[in-house]
Amino acid sequence: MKKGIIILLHLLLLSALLAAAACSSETASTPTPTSAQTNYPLSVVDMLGRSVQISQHPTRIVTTHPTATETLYKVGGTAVGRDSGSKYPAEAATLPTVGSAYKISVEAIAALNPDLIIIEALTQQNIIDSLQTLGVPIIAVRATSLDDIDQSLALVGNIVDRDEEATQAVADIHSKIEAVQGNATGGKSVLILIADTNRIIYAAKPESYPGTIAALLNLSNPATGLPDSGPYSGFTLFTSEQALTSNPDVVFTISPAPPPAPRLSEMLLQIPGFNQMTAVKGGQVVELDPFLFLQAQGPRIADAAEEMLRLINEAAE
Amino acid sequence: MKRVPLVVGALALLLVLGVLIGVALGPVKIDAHRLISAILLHGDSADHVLIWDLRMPRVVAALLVGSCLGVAGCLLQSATRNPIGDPQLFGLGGGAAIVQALAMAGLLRMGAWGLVVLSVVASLVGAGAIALFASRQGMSPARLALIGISLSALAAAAATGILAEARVFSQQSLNFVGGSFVNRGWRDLLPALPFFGIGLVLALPVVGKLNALALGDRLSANLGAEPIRTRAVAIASSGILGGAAVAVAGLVGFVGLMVPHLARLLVGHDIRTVFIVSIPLGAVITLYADQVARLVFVPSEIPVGLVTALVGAPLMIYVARRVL
Repeated sequence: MKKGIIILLHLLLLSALLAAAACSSETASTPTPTSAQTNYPLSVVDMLGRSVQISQHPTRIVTTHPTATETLYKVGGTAVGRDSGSKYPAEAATLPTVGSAYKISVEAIAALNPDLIIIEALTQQNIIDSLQTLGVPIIAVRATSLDDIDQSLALVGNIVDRDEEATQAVADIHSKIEAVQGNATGGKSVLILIADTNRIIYAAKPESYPGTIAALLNLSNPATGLPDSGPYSGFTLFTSEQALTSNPDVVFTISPAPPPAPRLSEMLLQIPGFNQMTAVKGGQVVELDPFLFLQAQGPRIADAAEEMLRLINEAAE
Repeated sequence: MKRVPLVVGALALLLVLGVLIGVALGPVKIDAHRLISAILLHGDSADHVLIWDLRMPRVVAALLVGSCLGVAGCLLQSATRNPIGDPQLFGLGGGAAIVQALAMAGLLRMGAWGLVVLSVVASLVGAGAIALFASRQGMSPARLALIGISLSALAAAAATGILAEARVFSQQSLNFVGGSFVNRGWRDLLPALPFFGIGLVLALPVVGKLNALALGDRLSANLGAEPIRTRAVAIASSGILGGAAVAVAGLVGFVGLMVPHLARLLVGHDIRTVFIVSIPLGAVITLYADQVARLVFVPSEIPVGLVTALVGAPLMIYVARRVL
């Protein structure tokens, strides 16, 4: 019975696709070279190294993480459902949600009847098993580094048959980053800090997303080379003693909790050791947008770099 | 009880050693000469800041919180005639934990003093509930413990919910081995000090009467121990101490539970000596637990609650099997 409904839906979908194809072939009378066109069924390897079969052109895509959503929309794709944290681009913000990225509802995804689910590799590997019960292909994307972003865009572009847009998106990001780098004088050292509820403070290493952005701007990072510690990869526990002996020009803080939760930039003034840093005493502490610099890692990396450069220049004045 | 001076002396020695470790060792290496000059000489040198503003407050925080929890556990266990009396298990710390969670989510905008006062008040509410139930006729220790654990589970759920809603960086915050002395400064400690004093002073006059309470309410009333008043004062005092401890370090588990049992193993069952010994014993255990948390994976840290649980759990299993 259930299978019957699914087959029926697939048939409906197929006929809709055929109709769409027929329409488009009427309007686009000049056949374009089909070298980049995706043929289904398609076999791809996602950012977790998993082999995934895509049997047909996906049209009902659910994204479970801002990185997934922004990657899909960057190549010109659209989703039918998203996690509650995905608020960019604006058209994605009105989609039905399937829970927050760290608490995805499999049932809510099932209700949207998707034919592809895009997740984030680093933080959502643990939900693959439960999602697999839906029998829908699952693709993991990742955006910790620029390479990751390029590969993720190419991967998703290929899957939704938007290879050209993906190539264009990668080129755009690189040229924008180069432009930002051209304006960056570099040389300064920046420490990027984030705190947890036990008032333990972590510094972003160059391997983390905000650390990557700082590295792109040629900013040196006192947390470079420290061991990964604490539960977050790319971040290292930063003690008050290390703060006392490190001497960054600027301190960036990220406060993921929404207001009215206190900002880390204000809290640093009260925390011994951290409040002795020259940058903190001199007011060179800048709050970063937690969305742009932490939660929505992805194709907007160039915008984030541009923003960080602007903040660095402002802090230096 | 000739052993009491011996035990107190040994604990004092351990305390001095622990304080030295806490001050001398850390991610930044300091040799003896620099250490001594940093301790003795005043100045704005980095060493001075390191010793006096970073390591010292943390050591004092561990001492203070450990003593508070040890005494609170001792008072609770005697007053409720319950071997599993513990400020955390009995829900006293729960109210304070909710206050801390609200502050972290930014829903309470007040200074360090206000937060400590509110934590203590919240903790006293929990203490009031326990005192109310404990004074009911025929309330067995097991039923009281069940009520206490339920209260603390309720409070933990509320605190967790507040933090999850505020979406603070770590999902780590949702764990139950909590508590931390990381990045505590003098301004976090000072407001808790008077409550430590108040809690102790309040308890002192009733400590002697707690011995009689162990005989049951009717008998102890005949002995002039005023069971209801004694119990109320002892529980209120442990509420104040527990609330102050949570305000400084969050929920550090197992200390309040373990310290009175250890103290009884060391000095016998007279509540007056158990009370006296619980102060330095709680301080020693918490101080050393924090040194382990701080130094084992330098410069990284493990939660101090993890260490107290690792040490405390096997110990409690031993106590439960052999002593109780």
